[in-house]
Amino acid sequence: MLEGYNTIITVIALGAILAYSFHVVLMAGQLSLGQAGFASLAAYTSTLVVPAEPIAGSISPVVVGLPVGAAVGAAAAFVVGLPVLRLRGVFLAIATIAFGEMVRVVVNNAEWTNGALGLRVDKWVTFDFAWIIVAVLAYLFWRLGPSRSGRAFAAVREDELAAGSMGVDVVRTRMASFIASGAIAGVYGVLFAYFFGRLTPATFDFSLTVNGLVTAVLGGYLVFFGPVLGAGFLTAVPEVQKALGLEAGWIHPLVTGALLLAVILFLPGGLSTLFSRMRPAPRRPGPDYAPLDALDPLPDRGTPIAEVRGLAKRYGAVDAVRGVDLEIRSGEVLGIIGPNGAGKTTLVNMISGLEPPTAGEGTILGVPLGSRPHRFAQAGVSRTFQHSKLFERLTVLDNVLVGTHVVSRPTYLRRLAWLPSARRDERRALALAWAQLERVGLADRAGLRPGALSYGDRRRLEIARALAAHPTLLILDEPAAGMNHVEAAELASLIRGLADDGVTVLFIEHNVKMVLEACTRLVVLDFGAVIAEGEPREVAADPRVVEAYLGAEAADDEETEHV
Amino acid sequence: MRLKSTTGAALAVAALLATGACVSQDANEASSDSALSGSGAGADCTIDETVKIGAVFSLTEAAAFAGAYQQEGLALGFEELNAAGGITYEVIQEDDKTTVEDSVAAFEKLINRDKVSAIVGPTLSNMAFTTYTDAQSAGVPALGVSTTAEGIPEIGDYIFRASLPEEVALAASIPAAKESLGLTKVAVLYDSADEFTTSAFNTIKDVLNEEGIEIVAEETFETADTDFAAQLTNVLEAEPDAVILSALPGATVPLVKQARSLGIEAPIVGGNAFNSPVLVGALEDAAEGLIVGGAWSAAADTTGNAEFIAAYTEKYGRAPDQFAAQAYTAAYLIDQAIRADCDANREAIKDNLGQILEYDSILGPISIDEEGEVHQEPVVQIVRDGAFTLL
Repeated sequence: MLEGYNTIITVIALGAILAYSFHVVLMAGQLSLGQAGFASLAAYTSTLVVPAEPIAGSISPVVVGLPVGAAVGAAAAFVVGLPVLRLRGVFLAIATIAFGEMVRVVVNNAEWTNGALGLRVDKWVTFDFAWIIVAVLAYLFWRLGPSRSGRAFAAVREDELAAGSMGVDVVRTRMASFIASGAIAGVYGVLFAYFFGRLTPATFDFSLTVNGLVTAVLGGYLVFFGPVLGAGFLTAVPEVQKALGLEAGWIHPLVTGALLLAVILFLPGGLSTLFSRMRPAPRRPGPDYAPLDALDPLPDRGTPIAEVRGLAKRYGAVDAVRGVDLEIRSGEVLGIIGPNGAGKTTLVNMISGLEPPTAGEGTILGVPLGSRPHRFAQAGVSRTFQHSKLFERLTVLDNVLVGTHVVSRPTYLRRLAWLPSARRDERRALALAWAQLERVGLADRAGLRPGALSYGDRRRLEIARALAAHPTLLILDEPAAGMNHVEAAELASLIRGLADDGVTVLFIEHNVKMVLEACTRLVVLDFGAVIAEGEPREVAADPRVVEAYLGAEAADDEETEHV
Repeated sequence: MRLKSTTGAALAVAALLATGACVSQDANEASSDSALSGSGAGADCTIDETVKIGAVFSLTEAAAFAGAYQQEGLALGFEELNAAGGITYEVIQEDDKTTVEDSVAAFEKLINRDKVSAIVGPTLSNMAFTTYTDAQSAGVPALGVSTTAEGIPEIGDYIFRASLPEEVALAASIPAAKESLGLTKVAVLYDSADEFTTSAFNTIKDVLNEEGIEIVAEETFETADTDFAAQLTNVLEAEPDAVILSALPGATVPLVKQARSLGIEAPIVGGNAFNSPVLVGALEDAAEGLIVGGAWSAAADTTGNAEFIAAYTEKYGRAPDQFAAQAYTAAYLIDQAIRADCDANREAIKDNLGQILEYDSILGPISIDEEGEVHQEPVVQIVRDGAFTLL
């Protein structure tokens, strides 16, 4: 039926498959460019195992090559990823390009690959075969999107620190995306070899990488069918021009380039941006759910949940935190105050795993100090940041859904099989997230992006996200900064309500009135050391505190007046 | 509602799986169109229907330096044949953008959509290895005009070439140079990163051994190199009677210029890459004394050569090179094959292309054997006073 157009249609499919191998790393925010190397290794290896005759009479022998190619690509990605995934951004890109080049040079000089002359194989891939692979990949990515793993990918892409603090294992997520990329690139390599019937080292050169990356970015990596759009666009544009009679050699690339530029400039999310408006607005989940019922009970009031001794952090010659001892009991609202630079944020960063301490020992909810942030999050520590770290390209609701990571079960594999239990788990996460949005009063803005929120709303959203993790210990780093008096008062009552529910709250704040209203205990830091501790009003009256904190400020004010 | 759409999707996937995993085994359709066979024989043959010939060359990207000349040469050839009358040819030209994907797509279009009688091209052997298997299984005769790699004609009985391999040309130039210049010791320079130049180097070594010429220096470089001072200094110190060079056009110009400015006065013997007026123009004075083995020479007194050069220069405003000459010849070879039985069907062209014996072309007498391999005498030329002259 498509006589004479097979190659073009298959080239679109192959382009989409290659783009998917970039799509999956871009989804997790990694710029990996080693796909040509993975594809090359997989393609050459598959020639060793693909039988010469169709299986069972009519099944394409490439079905043997595909799993082998995927396995080779995945294994290579794992081995390369171990050392290379410590790198970020451009450095990761360069390291992976170097890998691709290494493979090319090795293949070019090896005996069994027939060097630069390459190998010839039978053409076992037909266009419908290639499109089935595309359909399978599209299905896998379609089901990935709204699953727990899909949200973890998105969270790592948007902000690794915040993702880790929400319990996402950043290293594992990056590795998973890298391995998936290797596997898909491997599948591409095998399909390429057995469609064109020939493979040479030059096939898998740097331009292949550039093509795949351009296709993935052009199509857009925020929706699952982006690569298909990108590949279709890039193949169709020259064909349409040809059909319109634009034959001159230089016009093709010029028009294609101009269209590419237009898409990148005006559709920053790629072509798929055109379709993202079709998404339904998030709605309140049905009333048949009492989400908090199924959650683990919080520890009894007064139980010690954290204890650290001699905690210290040194940056070069600067002692940010010096020998801090701290005990936190369940149900208390602990305020940490101190002048700017007193080490408050460094202290909570160590408690939540963002920074390893230089000295000191202790455990937070049973997790030893110095562990990675997701360990603390999984144990029940949840936090907000001094400068809010929201997932800017996710909706308000999706931001909060990431927060449910540690209290939900993985759903991706069950979603692939359409198991009802996966749907139940997703609805439970949704109900939990929605309940937090209602708690902070953002439910009517669930479908917006964080960028469209006011400053106070952004802080509230961060608190909702932290609460969605059903934390035992909630750490708030200056939650009221930038809020007006009304908002701050609302926040104080929210915090008291949390304490009534049994959540332990630790917060850093400059708003003295709010601290006195909300806290049950106060710790004052100055120059990295604790200078006072105890009942809020007593501490506030302590002369050392007045001198270090309030007094210093008063002195500042006087100086300003003199000038 | 949701259930319905997903069931539908699942069914569609299942259906695709069921059909797609199977290998369809298309049989060659030996279709023949009676309108494509005419009356008369040889020069008097007349075919009513227009004969469609496909052409796939690299008109843009890396190999465009050759593809543009090939397109012009082939077009000129068929234009002359159309003017001669009897058979009307239509050339359907495709650009493969120097990529395998576009080359395969172009072949598919020509074979299945345009239903051409024969295909000329592609420019590079690398693409031919893939596209010729398609032409072979579709039963469409394909004639290569610059596909010189080993193993091309062996792809099948529909595959032919009228392009003299580099090593044959180089091998012929060495005895000729020895005879006229009395060589006893030479230096050899070659591009070790390219498959053709490397295989040509092996041939060169064998020929030198046979001729009893000593190799006093053996130096290598890579395709993208631009500085050859180290290798050329070694060559200079070895004081050879001649330098034999196996390189692609890109490296040839800087290498020869640097050799001359370093003070290497010995003649330089090269292959196809030298055989272009553009190259000689770019080299300016440094071109003097280059010895070139090739398939065609502007100076050769072959049948119709002078007329070809004049017509080409008039039409395109530049002198033809070997690529143009070989593509031009391809038009006449296909015409010969069609006129043999006065039949422009694919089968007839295939049967008769392999029978061409000593056809008097601008490349000299040229034959294509049944395996599809070309046979012709290489021409050896030397650049004197800025022009090619036969050695």
